[in-house]
Amino acid sequence: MKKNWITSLTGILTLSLILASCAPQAAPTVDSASTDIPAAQADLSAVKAYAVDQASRMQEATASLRAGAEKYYAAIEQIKADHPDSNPYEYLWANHPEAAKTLLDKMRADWLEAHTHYELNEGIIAGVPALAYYDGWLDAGASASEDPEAIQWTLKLADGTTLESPGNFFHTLTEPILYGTVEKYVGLAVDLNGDGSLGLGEALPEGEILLASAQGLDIAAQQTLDAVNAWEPTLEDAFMAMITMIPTMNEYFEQWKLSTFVSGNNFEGTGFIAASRLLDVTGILQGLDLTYDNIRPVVANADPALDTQIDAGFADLVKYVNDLFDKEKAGMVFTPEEADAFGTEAQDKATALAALVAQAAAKANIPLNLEAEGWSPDAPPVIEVTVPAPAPIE
Amino acid sequence: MFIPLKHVRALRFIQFLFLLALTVSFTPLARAQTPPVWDSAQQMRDLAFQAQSELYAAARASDPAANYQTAASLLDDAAKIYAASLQPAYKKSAPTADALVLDSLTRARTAALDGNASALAAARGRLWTALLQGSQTLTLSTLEAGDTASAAEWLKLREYRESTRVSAVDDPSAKALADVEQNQLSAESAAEIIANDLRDSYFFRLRDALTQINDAVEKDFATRAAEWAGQSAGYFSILQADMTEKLGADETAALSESFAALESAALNEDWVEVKTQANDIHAALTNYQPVELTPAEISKRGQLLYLFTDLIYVEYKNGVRDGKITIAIEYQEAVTFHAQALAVFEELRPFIAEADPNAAAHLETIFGELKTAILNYAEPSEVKTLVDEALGIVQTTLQVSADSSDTSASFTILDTLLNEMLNAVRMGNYADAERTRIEAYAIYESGPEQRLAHRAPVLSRELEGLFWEGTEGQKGLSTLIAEKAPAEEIAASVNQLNVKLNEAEDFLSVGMSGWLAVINSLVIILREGLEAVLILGAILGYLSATNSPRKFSAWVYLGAAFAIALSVLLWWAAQSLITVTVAQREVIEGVSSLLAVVVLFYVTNWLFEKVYVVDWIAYVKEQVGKALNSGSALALAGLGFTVVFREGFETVLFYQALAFDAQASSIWLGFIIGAVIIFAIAYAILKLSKRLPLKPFFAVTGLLLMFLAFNLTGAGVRGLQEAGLVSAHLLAWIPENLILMELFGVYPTLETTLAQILFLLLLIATFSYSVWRKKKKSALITQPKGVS
Repeated sequence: MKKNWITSLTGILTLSLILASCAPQAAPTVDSASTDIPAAQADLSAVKAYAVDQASRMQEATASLRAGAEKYYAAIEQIKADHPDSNPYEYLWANHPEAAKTLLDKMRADWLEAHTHYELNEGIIAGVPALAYYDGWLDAGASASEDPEAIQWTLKLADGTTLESPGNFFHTLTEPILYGTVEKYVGLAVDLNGDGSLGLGEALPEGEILLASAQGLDIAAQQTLDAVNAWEPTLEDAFMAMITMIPTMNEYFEQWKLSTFVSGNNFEGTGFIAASRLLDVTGILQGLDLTYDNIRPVVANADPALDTQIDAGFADLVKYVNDLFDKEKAGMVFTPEEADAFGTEAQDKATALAALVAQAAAKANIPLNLEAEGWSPDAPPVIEVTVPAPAPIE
Repeated sequence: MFIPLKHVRALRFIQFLFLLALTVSFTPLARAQTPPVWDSAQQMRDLAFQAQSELYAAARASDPAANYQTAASLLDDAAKIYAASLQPAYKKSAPTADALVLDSLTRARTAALDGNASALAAARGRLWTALLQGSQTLTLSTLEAGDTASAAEWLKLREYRESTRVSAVDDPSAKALADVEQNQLSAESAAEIIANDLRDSYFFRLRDALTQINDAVEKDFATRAAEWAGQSAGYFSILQADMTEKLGADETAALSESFAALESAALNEDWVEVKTQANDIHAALTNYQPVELTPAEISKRGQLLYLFTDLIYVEYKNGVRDGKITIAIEYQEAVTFHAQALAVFEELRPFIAEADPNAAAHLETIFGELKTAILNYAEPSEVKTLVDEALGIVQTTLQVSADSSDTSASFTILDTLLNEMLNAVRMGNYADAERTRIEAYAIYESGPEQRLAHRAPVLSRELEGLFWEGTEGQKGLSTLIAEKAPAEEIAASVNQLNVKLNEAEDFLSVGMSGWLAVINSLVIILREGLEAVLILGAILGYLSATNSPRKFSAWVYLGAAFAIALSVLLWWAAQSLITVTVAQREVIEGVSSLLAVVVLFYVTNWLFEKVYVVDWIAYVKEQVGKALNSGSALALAGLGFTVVFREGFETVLFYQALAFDAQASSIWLGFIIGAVIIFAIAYAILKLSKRLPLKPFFAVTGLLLMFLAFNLTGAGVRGLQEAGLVSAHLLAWIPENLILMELFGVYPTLETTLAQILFLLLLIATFSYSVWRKKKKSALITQPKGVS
């Protein structure tokens, strides 16, 4: 009897322990994408090389712009020292108009050069989470007065003025400063083209803000270059860049419609006076098109027909925007309604293309986390001015 | 020359073979030269747009007639492409669309030659949407015919909702077709998915077109307004059949007239009439729902709407006081949840209106008043009144219960809260971030965790670790926030958490089969009940074996019964009377576990003394006829209560969670089988215990009790950590193992480890003391009399 009981109990206990321990565990991860596609590979070295090249050229231009700004500031300070009772900008324009104009033209050219190379890189930098911070800081970020969640950073001028979260370097600082579209950044409105009137963009910049912004832009450009050099591109980066940046066409065309290139001198904004927003769009598309070219093997492996359609979509969109930009460069000034029509057409093409790219990512088993937080610095950057010694302009 | 007949036949046969080979070899080439349907359609669209550009250019040209002629030529090219590539299929299988395309091309050409930019724009809008209408028809008809390859081709000619930087466009149609090809989905089901997807996209585009018309009118863009009017009429044509089915023939006919009037007014630049018609159409469409939502989907979205609306007040009351923001992040969350509630409301509006025609309008008004109240920092009581009213409408019209533990809604809420938490970190507000983290964990534990804990304990443990001290080498959010880690590091942890949450959501979205539910139910009662049964069974068996008076075992039974009753009562009260938050539940579990440790410690020492120091048999005999003293009674009753209560409350909660996934019949079946096994074990132990030697039996029982106490020490402190009452510092060198945690209560944190070490030290101390007392007593007994 004893043995029977022990046997029975042992059996029941054993069975119970087995049942209790065999609780259903987590099922294998459910992957919404197909698991039939083999792992895809792509060589993204060309994408990185392109990004590094553009970032390097941008930084060369910002360094030159910085040198020009320091020379300008030094000249203003020299005038202040030598002629304390005079308005330094009036004195400069009255006594050294050609030198001032040449220097300003050089700075504007450097700005355009830097901006162009940034735009050629924007599709990658703004679309990759590890680099997107620099897009906000350099080109796209709003100021704290416009957006409570603006990028936090500080710009300290030589005169002790501190600007908190003033926006992005290209379009809220250096461009308005160099083209005099914000009154407080103007040192003196002057007739740069000698036509006897003061038109849009005809002004000498205020020295303090110009110096701080130009130096800050150069610092930010160098940091961007360092980040791009350190970046190791992945397939996820490539797809993220395309899916996040292609839909931005609408925003860019909205800004283009309001820019001087569409409405002429009825311009109401402070940015996009030096370069058309179409330059941004063509630049972004160039970077994204290059990116797609380098991942085509991955998409083609998953769905050749889809790859063909996407490639055709890119070609179509790139050609469309390039044709538009060519017309603009040839001197055509679009009416606002035309710009609305052209913009909508571009947006429709972009919407369709973005959907196809998202399909491609799914078919290639590339997970996308559009809400992933990108890199940002440990502490908000603080840019402090390095003051050059006063020196005459010539 | 005479050729024999047989040679003629041979020659003709050879000729036939040659022609056949020629045909076959050229056919692929011919096919390769036919562009895909999407390409042909895009070419047509581009040509039509170029024609429009010509008319824009004509406005500047000295000789606009040349531009008009060029525009007409471009449209001729478009017509040729249509005739060559698309018309054969359209004419045969989508005649309505074919007629619309031809009509649009004709009108466009006429407008181009007349230099009428607005008429051309309207015709372009009609042309493109007619192409889309045809491709939709052909997609579904070829799929129905079993030709998935053709269906996939036609599906490539379509439009999508607008994507944004943070929301990629989903494409369920392409996936559905792929599933059909892999025999994972029927053609009929795929057709339903595709039809829903396309209707959803085109209804989105229709609403966008109506918005754009008003915008164009404001800016005096005549051509643009005409194009949007033409497009909106075209989208209506695509959706007309579905609208007839859902809104009724009369209402749809009225809409058809409105769209025609809208287009006519736009062409005549009658902006007042355009606005009137656009607004009327917009109002008429508020009750149209393009996508068929299943009752389950309506219910889920209803739960989401309820949850979001409820959270508006929950957050707001913590964030605003006396007309000022007191805690910014709580205020921001209230704003966020209001926006999300509004978005879900728009989706469910037709269903709300169906239940009560006035309810939808009233709810819209309430949301508007809420927005005003929030923006004006109204008193929380005012917000509560509005929220309660809204919740009542949602409950009544959508049959939504007040149970906010719907897991799919929970995942959405979690997403929102984790984003808010990260924003707080980026702004350096770590206190706010911690507050939001605890809220997020509370949502997780009150919803998904309940179901994951027994279905996927490994995943459940990983998620818990990521919320708290960490897991698999990754520091958890609680640790990182306490350390004020950089935003980048916290973002990486959130990303990892999101990956696991997605995994959990996917896992829980899969239903539970009947037999799996039975097994899960069985496992719950076995796992939770086995421990109690083993220990209580051993004690009761021991009491019976030593012929202890019945009152001994009676106290144990009393304690156990009281624990069961209290578990059920507490659960009932939580459902009906009070709100037991997750944190409070953790406190209950934590405190009851630590109390159990104290009682177990006391009981074990009491038993050890009675058996080894005093002599149990003598003690028992002494107790015959007497009432048990309070200390002994408390020990025995406390033993029964503490062993059962902790498991009892958790068992009830696990079954509640299982009820979300399984049928009641399956749950009951598993429970009954498990209960039978439990009782069988208890009975066997009681019987067996009479035959075992007392002291070894007691030794094993004592070890079991101490083992349980050691487990509960760790688990109890863990519960208090999850309630936020005790800190949690990660000890990475302690392996993170489910068996260690579940069986031994060993967690990789400093606090739980210290508590268990302290317990062991106390155990050693008391055991040593008892042994010393025993030796001392033995020494006194063996000392000869008279020896001092």
